[in-house]
Amino acid sequence: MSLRTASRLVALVSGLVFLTLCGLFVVAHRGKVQTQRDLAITESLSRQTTQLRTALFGYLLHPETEPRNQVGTQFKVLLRLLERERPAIDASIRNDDETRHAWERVRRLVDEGQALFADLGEARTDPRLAVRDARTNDLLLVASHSLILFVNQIRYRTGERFLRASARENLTMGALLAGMAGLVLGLFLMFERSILAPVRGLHAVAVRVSAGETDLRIASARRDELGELAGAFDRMLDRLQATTVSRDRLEAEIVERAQAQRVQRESEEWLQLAIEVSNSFAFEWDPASDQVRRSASSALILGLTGAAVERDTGQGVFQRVVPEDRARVVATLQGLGPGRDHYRTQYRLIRGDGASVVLEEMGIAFFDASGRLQRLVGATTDITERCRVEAEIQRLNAGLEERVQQRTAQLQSANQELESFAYAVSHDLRAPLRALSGFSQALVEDYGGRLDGEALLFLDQIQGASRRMGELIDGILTLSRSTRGELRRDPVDLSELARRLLAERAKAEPGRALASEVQPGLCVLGDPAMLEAVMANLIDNAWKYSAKTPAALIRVSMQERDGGPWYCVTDNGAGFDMAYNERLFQPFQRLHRQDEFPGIGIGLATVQRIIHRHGGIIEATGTPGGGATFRFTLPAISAHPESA
Amino acid sequence: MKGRAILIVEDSRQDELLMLRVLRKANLANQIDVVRDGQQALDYLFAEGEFAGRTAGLPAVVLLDIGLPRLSGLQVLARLRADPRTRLLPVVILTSSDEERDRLKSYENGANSFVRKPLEFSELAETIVRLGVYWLLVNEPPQP
Repeated sequence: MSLRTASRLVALVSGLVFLTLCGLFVVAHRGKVQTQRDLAITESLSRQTTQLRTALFGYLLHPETEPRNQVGTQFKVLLRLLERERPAIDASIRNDDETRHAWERVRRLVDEGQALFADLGEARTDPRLAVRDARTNDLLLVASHSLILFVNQIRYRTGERFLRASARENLTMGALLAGMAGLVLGLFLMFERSILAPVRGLHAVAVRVSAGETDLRIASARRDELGELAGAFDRMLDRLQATTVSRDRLEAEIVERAQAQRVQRESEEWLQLAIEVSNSFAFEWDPASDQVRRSASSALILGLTGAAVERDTGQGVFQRVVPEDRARVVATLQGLGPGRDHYRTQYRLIRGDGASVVLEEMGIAFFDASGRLQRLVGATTDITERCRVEAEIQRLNAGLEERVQQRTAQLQSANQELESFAYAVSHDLRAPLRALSGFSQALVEDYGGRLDGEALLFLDQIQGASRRMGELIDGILTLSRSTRGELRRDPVDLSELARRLLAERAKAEPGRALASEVQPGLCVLGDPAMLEAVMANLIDNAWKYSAKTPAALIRVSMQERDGGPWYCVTDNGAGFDMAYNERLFQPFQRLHRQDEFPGIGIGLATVQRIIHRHGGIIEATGTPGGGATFRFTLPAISAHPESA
Repeated sequence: MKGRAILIVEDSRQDELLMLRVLRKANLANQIDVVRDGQQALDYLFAEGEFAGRTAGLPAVVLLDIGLPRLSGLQVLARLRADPRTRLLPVVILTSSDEERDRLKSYENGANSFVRKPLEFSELAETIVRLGVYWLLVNEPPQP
């Protein structure tokens, strides 16, 4: 139902209610006015009857003309009154039998009274008539009393009616007021429900929309004008939002476009810079028109100025290519085709100022559907400097290679020399020695009888010297061979090895009172033969230098130091002075006299070479007379293979 | 005509003297010839050069040193083995060298034995005598 219909309906109902209530009030009011008038009539009647009786009493006391006239007048007034108010009285008695009866009695009593009074008349003056008059008097008095009685009855009834009418009027008035109040309340509630509430909702939405919530909608289910208003508001919001969104989009697009332009500009600047810095220029060639377009960075590379920098012809470029390189350029371009569209070529080119540059050109070719070359796009880099450097590097490399070869050859020849030296030593140094010992022995054997004791001693010295020299030669050979050949990396049980070597020596020299301690489980990786030589030399040394110690002890053990194992061979023998530590491992250097401890001084040198070849290190500590300890490391895996 | 029992190829005069002395003491001296270098050894064995006309035939054994002037002992050995006449001739390499590669090369080239000259003269003497006895008396040479 539309608000308009509703409001009309409300107005109509309100009017009807109001009119009804007004009508009721008017009726009630008129009833009241009517009874008021009736009351006034009865009041007047009562007054008149009272006056009549008063006049009558006066006359009866003083039966004279004056009072008689008064009574007559009073009767007339009374009658007139009754006559005059007859319609009103008739109206008032319509629904009230008692009152009508009373009124009828009043009329009859008035008529009777008048008639009785008329009887009195002149007789008053007639004493005979006095008896009869006395009865008439009584009757008259009774009549007047009855009259007053009935008038009072009427008056009482009328008063009652007046009170009822008044009450009814008040009731109607109250109903009217209550109805008005109810109407006002109803109207207010209706107004509140159908207008104020939706308007408030609308207001709230409007406030929120104005705050930016343009996607808010009322979506009212009402079908009245406010519903339409809400719908219209929603549609307005739709339009507003669409406008706002499109405006936002537009603004965003503007921002995006500006940003894209900036990015593009930056990108272009960036590319430009990159091309310049890389000593390159970009180019494009259109075979149909033979036009060549180049980036500005070509100016420096090609030594061009003015319009020639960016505009050129393919022919113009080709003419500047060094004649020897033209065939290659042509071959490269002819090799292009659909599917083989990338190319890379190098050529030398005469610059605008006559200098020569080496250029590297990388490009891509575009072909049309029929396979005809349409466009060539790419970048050309000045690689003059690079070529120069490369040539220099090549030259240096070649030199280096040569030097390496030279060095290798030198090293090889040195090695060879060393080998032949060892060979010669083993071969050629022995023969004279043998001759020395051989002939001195032959001398002793063949001519011993003719030589005296001193001569024989000299011959003995010759033999001893030659034997010692033979040992030295053997030592040199042992040393040189100690590290020859491939280095094996096999598991070696040093403990087992030491025990065996010690047992061998004990067997060979059963008279020695010597104790030995070997820590078990000393397993290493290394060349078994070389490590055997190491242990043999160290144990031999320990054995030899503890020969003069009463309670000789040789200990083979392992110590952790610097995060790795050190293998130790310790004895409590002659020891050595640490001041000569440096000389210990040098070949043929000995710290003891030959007559103290015989030897050639090659054992520790051999040991050191072997340990070094294994990538390990060896050191010795000792004190004269306090024994010596030799410690070495054997890196598990060749950290410094073959380098030592 | 049957040749001498032993040919010694030895460039060292001293070694030669010592060996001869030992062999003489062992009563083997009259069966020994000595040449000084590899070429001479070949000439001797093939009856060429200064030995052209030598008709004495091949020795029972050749004691060949390695370090020789002109042709080395190993070269001599190779030439002997390459020639059908001397292909089976017993050759003992007798040298001061104890180089492994010499030993290997010698056997590869078909040496019948490799003996290192002991450093001690007395040992050398003993070795020489043993060699002479072995090759002249114990060993059965191939029939030519």
